[in-house]
Amino acid sequence: VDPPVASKAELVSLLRQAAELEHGLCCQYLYAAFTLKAGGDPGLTASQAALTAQWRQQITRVAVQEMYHLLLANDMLIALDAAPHFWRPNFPEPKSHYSQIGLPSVLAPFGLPTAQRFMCWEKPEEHGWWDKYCRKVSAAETARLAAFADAEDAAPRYRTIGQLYAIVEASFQTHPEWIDPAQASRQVTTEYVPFSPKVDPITTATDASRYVEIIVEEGEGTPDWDSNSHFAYYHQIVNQLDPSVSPDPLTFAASWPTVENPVYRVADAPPGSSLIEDPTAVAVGLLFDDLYLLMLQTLIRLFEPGGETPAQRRALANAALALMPLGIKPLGILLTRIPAGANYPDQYAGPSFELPPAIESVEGDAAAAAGALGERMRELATRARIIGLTNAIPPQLQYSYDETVARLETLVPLFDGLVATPA
Amino acid sequence: MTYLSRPRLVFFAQDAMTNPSTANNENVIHLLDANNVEVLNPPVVVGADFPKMDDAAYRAWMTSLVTYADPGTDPQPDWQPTMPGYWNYYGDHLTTFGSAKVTGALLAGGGPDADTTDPLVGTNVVFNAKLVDLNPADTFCSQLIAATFKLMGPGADGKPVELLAGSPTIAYTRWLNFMRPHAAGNFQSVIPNDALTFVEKSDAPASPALEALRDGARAGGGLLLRYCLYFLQAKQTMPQMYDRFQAGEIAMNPKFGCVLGTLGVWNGQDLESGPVGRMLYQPGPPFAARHAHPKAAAADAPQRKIKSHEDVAAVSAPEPEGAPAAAAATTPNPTAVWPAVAIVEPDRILLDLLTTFPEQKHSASRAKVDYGPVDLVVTSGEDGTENVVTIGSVPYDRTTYEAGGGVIEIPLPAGSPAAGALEQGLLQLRQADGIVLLAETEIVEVETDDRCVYLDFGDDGVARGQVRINVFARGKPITRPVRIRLEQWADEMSPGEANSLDPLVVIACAMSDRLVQPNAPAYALPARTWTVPAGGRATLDLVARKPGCFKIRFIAPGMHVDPSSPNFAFEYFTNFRVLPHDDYSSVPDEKITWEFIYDEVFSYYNVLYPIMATIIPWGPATSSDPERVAQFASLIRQAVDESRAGTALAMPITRELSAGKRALVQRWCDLQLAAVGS
Repeated sequence: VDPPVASKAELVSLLRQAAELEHGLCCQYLYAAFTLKAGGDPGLTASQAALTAQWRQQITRVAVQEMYHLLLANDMLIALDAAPHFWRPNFPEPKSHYSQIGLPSVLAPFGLPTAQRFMCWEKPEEHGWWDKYCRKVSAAETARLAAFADAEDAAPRYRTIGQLYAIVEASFQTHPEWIDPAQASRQVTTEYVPFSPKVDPITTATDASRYVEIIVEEGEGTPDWDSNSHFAYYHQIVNQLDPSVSPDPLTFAASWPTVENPVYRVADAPPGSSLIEDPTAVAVGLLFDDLYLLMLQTLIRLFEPGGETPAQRRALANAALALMPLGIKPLGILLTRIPAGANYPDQYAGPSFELPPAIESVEGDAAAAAGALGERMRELATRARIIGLTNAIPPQLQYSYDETVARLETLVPLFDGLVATPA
Repeated sequence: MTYLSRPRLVFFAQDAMTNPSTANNENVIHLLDANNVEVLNPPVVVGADFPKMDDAAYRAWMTSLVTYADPGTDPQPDWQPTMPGYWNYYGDHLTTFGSAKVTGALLAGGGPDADTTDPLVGTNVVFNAKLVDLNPADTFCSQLIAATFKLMGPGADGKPVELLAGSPTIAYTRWLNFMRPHAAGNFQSVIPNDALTFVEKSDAPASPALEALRDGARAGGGLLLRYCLYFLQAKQTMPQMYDRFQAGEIAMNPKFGCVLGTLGVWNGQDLESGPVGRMLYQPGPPFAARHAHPKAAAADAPQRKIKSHEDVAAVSAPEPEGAPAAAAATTPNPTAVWPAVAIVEPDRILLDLLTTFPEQKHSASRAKVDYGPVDLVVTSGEDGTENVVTIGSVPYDRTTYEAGGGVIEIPLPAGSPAAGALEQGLLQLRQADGIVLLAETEIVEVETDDRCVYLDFGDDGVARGQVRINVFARGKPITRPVRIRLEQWADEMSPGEANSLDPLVVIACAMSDRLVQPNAPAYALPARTWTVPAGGRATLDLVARKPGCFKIRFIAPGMHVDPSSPNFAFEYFTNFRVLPHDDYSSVPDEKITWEFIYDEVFSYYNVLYPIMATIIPWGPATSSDPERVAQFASLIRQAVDESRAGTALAMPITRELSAGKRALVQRWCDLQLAAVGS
């Protein structure tokens, strides 16, 4: 059956949903990766540490590709002369939100249920053993997360993620005239971000189809073991953990027992979330969220330049992407080691990836925007330092925290450099 | 305005931290060709025939247990357990001041002691830098490349704010004092006004000290930061680290200890990285002839030549309290008194004793060695007669040291005999019995802010660089030309010897200085002598044709240097490193495969600096997965981007990537990114 063709407004809406989906998956994957224990953590043997390191690397790699898909979805939006879309709903999201797969979107520590959920999010479009397996996973998750998983949401017009992208592709193919070649220079290509695979401007329906296929192949891929798809990676992990398929499943506690769906702002605490009130965790959690927001604001500016030259846009990309390994990642890991407070005994906090109802973009010309972003980075580095000085960071985390703050401070000159980047 | 003038803040902490990676220190086993920036595979130990290892095996070997003793310790070698990667294989080079706080403020017109009531007292002193050695195996070439310096404390509303912040210039270790327990190093840098911000006055606390610094900086060139890192020691032993590695942990083992320093005003003219004043050195070589003073302290060189980190560790290791040697360790040893700097102001003399007096070697309380009463005197005289005028006593106890940031002030009443004698006379620190601990000489000071210079080869096959030098006489730029001698010395590593192969027991490798003759291919100096004109500023143009790690020894007129063995603890010198001439321009694109780039570049870092992989995991083991290769390439392309050069974000942290290899890495990245999906 040929996929339906959307109207232009619907296509924009679908691409915004695609962006939210990719973005949300990226956050969920990162959250799980952050919770994985490392060598030296309590109760972990050397071989177990080697395994968790492998899993962390695999999941992080998938998360990076989701980030890439998010950027591609935004390039398609730009090609349609629409605004880029980096906002997404906060966690948790009900199972009906993005598909009829039956899986909610939640931030949860690494473990078998999480790995199963990830695998099923990425399951191939074609039918296979995974359909039955994932129905069971969906039922189990629905039962486990009953508080919110069954919440009603506007049902999307597609059943699966594959269908979503099939509609997108069909719509581009049917209406190539919707693509505005004049927007090519606004798009973020390999010229600005060292994408892999390479990204050129989307100026034809064929271009759009090519990138849709890349997204689908990298995500759902094929069921082959040796595939590089996300599904194959998660299948490998699930096979090692699931007693129903492995004769000798790995049952050790591979992750820090964090809460699910941590939230640091009362207003963002829907059913199914874990409102954290421990002052130290709150201070670090909010800092993480603001750093994450700064990264998104920098990316938005990259997609919506206000007179920036190519060199200045490259500097924006460089600064935004440096925040990931040097800010988001270490702070996210640290949060999964901070106790969640008296309300959650024996549990730890985690990054909430909370976003405000709308992301405020940075206004003004290139110099003004660079100055504002630099000032924001400086403020956050200062705030990070103040938290270290005034909050009770657990002693065993003090070094990690100080090291993370030091890394944030090394980013300040990089953001300051945005102003100095020659036009 | 001098580098010690008021206003200045004193700060102190006992949990300063430095976290260098140590595999490249080569303290035990010769495993690095520093000249060509290559890992020796197999490592070199005389009498051992190691197999060549793949990178995974090499890394595992780095954390294996080895027994070693230092060379020259026969007949009683001190056998100890260690690891080839030494005490901190996973170090990330971060250096901080820990929880340092301002402990006092000294303002113009204030009393002799530091004011402890100013609102700045108690504020946090934040410092964040990367510790990078120009030659990781040599101990006299450490750099602190700072990302930030801040004072943070309550603002006008009582809430914590950034009171001032800036990016300090690179600091270099000076007067490394290995006679203090665990050794100590002085550092100095400035925060120029264009890299300095103060809190808005409306948000500032009512602090006279803050205002004095703000006004002083604006009137001069910025702020000046000088500090000493001392008593630094790792918390984990080698066997403890071994156990952690065996458990699969990526374990770091930073050193923690004290930082003491001052923050003052930079006049915009003085050196950025070193003190300028009237220098007081031990009264023997290299600044005076042996026994130049009738009652000079015996200024013999230490028995052990100090060159490597292991040399420093061996000399500075304190005896445990109560050990038989403890009593001897507290005996005042005049040769353990390190240089001092004097600044003469109209009404006082400022003495910089930041690393002058050592602590007792068995004392955990940081108590200073007791030299008895010590006076600052000024001497003059001709024809064998000596007139000595005492200026005042020099308190050097721990309390005074820490309260003043290593600076003391001695009043100088107008019209006093001492004031009159200072213009022509020479300063000395003397014990009560007349023993001269330190003495000023007429020798000029030859210094440079280009203390660690990197040279890269150009297209013409020559590496060029410059070293700016400044020459001072008694703390002021020279007023007449001075001719200085220049020598080039190369760092040279000698492998150790195997005592047993299984288990591995070795006599450690050793490092030495080798004079580079002017006719040698490695010689890079413009001449053997150089005349510095009046005004005291000159620039040396270096032209190098061979890679390597070198020092330029500056020999001023009147110095008494050992021609065969420089004493870089005291002498004037600078470091330069000529990175290898790596030219891959003729390698065709199709040969620049993953295997090629890994072997040529990444393998080195993978083996020596494993912490890097925790930030950007090294690429796949093979090139069978082009997607993964390209993803890795995209990250590396940004990491080595020139926009990060000169900052604390620069990659590699160790600054050993030659221009040729950087170009190769960038080219490989571009090829991957162009190939995938094209």
